[in-house]
Amino acid sequence: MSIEKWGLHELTLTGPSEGNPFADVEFQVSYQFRNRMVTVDGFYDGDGVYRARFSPDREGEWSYITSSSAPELDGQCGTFVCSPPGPGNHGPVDVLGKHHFSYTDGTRYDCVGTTCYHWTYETKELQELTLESLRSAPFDKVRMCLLPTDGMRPERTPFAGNTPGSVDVERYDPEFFRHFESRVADLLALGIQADLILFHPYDRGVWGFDRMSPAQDAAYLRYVVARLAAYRNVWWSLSNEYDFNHEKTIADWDRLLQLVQRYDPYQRLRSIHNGTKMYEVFTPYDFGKPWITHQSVQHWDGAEVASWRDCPKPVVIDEIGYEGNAGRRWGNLTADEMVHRFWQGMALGGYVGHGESFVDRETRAWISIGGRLYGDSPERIDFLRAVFAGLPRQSDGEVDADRCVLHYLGDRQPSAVELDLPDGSPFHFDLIDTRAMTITPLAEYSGPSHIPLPATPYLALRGTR
Amino acid sequence: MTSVARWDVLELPVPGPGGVLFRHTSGATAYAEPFQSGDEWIVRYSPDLEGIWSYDGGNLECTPATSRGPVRRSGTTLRWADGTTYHPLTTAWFGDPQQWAAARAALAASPFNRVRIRMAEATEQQVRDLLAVDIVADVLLPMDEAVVRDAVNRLAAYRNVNWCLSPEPDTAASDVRRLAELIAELDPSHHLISMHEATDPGPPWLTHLSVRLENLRGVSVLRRDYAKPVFVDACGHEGNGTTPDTSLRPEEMLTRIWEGTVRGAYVTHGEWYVDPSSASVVPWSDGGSRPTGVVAQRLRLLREVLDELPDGVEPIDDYRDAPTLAVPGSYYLQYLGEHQFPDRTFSLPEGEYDVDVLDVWNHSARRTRESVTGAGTLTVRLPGTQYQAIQIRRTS
Repeated sequence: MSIEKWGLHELTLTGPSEGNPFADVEFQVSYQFRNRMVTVDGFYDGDGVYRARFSPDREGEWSYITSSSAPELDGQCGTFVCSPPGPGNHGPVDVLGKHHFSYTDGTRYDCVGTTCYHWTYETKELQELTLESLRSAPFDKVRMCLLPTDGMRPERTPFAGNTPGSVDVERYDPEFFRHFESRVADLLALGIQADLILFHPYDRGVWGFDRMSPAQDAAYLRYVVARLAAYRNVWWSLSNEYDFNHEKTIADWDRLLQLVQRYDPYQRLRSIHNGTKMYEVFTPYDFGKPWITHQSVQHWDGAEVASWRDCPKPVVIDEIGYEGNAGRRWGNLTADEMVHRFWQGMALGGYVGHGESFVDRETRAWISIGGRLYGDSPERIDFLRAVFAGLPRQSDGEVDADRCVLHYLGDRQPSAVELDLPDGSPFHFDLIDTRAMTITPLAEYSGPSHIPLPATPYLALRGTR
Repeated sequence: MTSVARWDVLELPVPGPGGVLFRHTSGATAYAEPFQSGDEWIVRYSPDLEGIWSYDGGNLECTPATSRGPVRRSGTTLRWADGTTYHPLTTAWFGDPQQWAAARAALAASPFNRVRIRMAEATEQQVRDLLAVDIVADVLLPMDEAVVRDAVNRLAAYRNVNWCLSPEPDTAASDVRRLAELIAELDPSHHLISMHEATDPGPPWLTHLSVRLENLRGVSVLRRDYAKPVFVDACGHEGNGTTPDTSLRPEEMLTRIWEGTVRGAYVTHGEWYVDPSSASVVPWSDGGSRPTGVVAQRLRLLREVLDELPDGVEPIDDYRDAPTLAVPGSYYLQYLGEHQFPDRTFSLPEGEYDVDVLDVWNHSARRTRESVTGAGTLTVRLPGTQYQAIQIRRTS
């Protein structure tokens, strides 16, 4: 048997089904390449079936051996060959330098994400429409929730049961996960990262998933990591708007993040997303803590990126407001404003996420359910993505200031700018109209320069040499 | 057929640089790459299962162990491969091979059973010398793939090795992962791997923490947060050096080691005495010939206590104002540091106890036999001076 590098090896065994196998049976598999061992948790998949998933990261022969509290799951061994990665497989995304990302094989990762919180909970037709929309959209990451909100009444939840008040949070619904995983795999096939939101505060005690005991939280996380970590496009977002959950403290989030780190053999990217109140209150988690890989921020102002870069981790503003016409403050930006915020954040060396919330169209808000995209921002974000992908960069991912100047002029309408350029060979300047999506060559400049402009907003200047 | 005891070292000359796969009759495998010695390539291998191992070119028989094997991680603690507990007591010796003959004799006669040394040409002989006196070598490796590869191929077969990557100013997390995983791939003996002062010590490719920490109370949080063994490999040196790090009073060095140890961590001793009138005197941790301070000698008491610790001791937080290691109900070791308590009271089940008041600084012990009746308490009178420890062991 052969598994491609960074692909997924799945081992299936049968074992005990009595009692609560989710809690009662310990089952792990140690995979070995040469002398290096990687131990993963297996999981109970219902009906007496146990599985373990593993993503190999070295080409060649791997062997494995199981260990378990159940004799029939213990001491099973085998081998497989890890073959070169297939087309389009660049490995998992990892941090590059201090503030950027890259695929493991060195390929550039743009990090232009979007949000569809509960798209996997919708009808099959709608889920397929979402995938179809993503296929032609510029996005390479989707934020999505595992847990339902208080108002939802889905057929299945991650836990056993679908009625608030009678869900057993110490058993899981394997069928829910099998479906969820198939959607993670669909995103992988589209080259899209799945930023999985493991908790959120929109439960308000209805399901009780926001106020489980520490042991229940830990068991849930261990089960989720055992099932999903082997998908190379998975990222962990411990919570959405973590600070809106008054049932948990910072110490709880520390512990839960540490647990995910401990359970995850691959160390997928890991962060936690904050809420904001009234464009005033902003209390992000302390991203300097060692178990955080990148800064997942909700904030309304892309200009803040400069100060957040004091922390030596990539800045991803996962929520900067959404294009749309919702009756809520967070969901009725114009495309101009949305794209303006993207340019601001990205020109400062951060990353920005998209969202859309039109409430009067054929499919309801994209951020909640996916469906169809109606806004004008995705096309302009695609243009922005291509501009940023083309900038000359250093090995740490930063724009190479010696070869390139990028100056975003924002929502102002200057008739000219004064730039103090480095001396030496001149920079060839282009005028980028971020709204019209045009790039117009200008003149060459070096040293202190006066560059005339058309006095319209949303322009950027790019000089290269 | 070649025969070698489990966890001992076998050397096989091989024709070239290719790795050798050893296969045990159980199906277990181990991979060893050769290193270059003059014009020859040599594979050094230490089998960890008894029985017959085959490889391309022959078979070997692994006979029963005559040692406890390499050190393994067990949760937040350490064990020898044969399952017995290991309580390291480490000193730092980063020195000149010229001084090794003297340093080796000093180490053999010291209370230390682990020493931090830096990878260099002389390291191979030093590791062998240390093996002969049952001392573990924590080998510091630079962030250099070629050096790491050569070091692991040469040294991994010695059961007394641990690996410690040492950071450079531009070390990235991805470099730590690459080199730690390379060590794991090349090392058939699965020795411990750490990264000194790792920005993030959490990933599974690091078996334990190697931290710099002056306030030893901090080890409890590190142990809780990472659930791994915690080594404080840099907390300062006893000495009279010119920096705060190299001029700790001996009382302070000693109390740091006790404080961290009783909180369940492993604290490395360092010593830095200079002679202002003689540049030829080399401080011990800079590679001197012997420790000349007073802490190393006073650590004999700690060595005795560690050697007698019952299996399964863990830090407990029943006594909020003093760190305590215990097997609840049967064993307690409490350290009182710089505080001058007149007495301490313990809640203990009914029974007979040996109670030792250990004067850590003056290296003296006073033992009494005490009885506790009912669900009782025991009050231990103290001399009211600093650096006291109390050890309570149930006898019936």
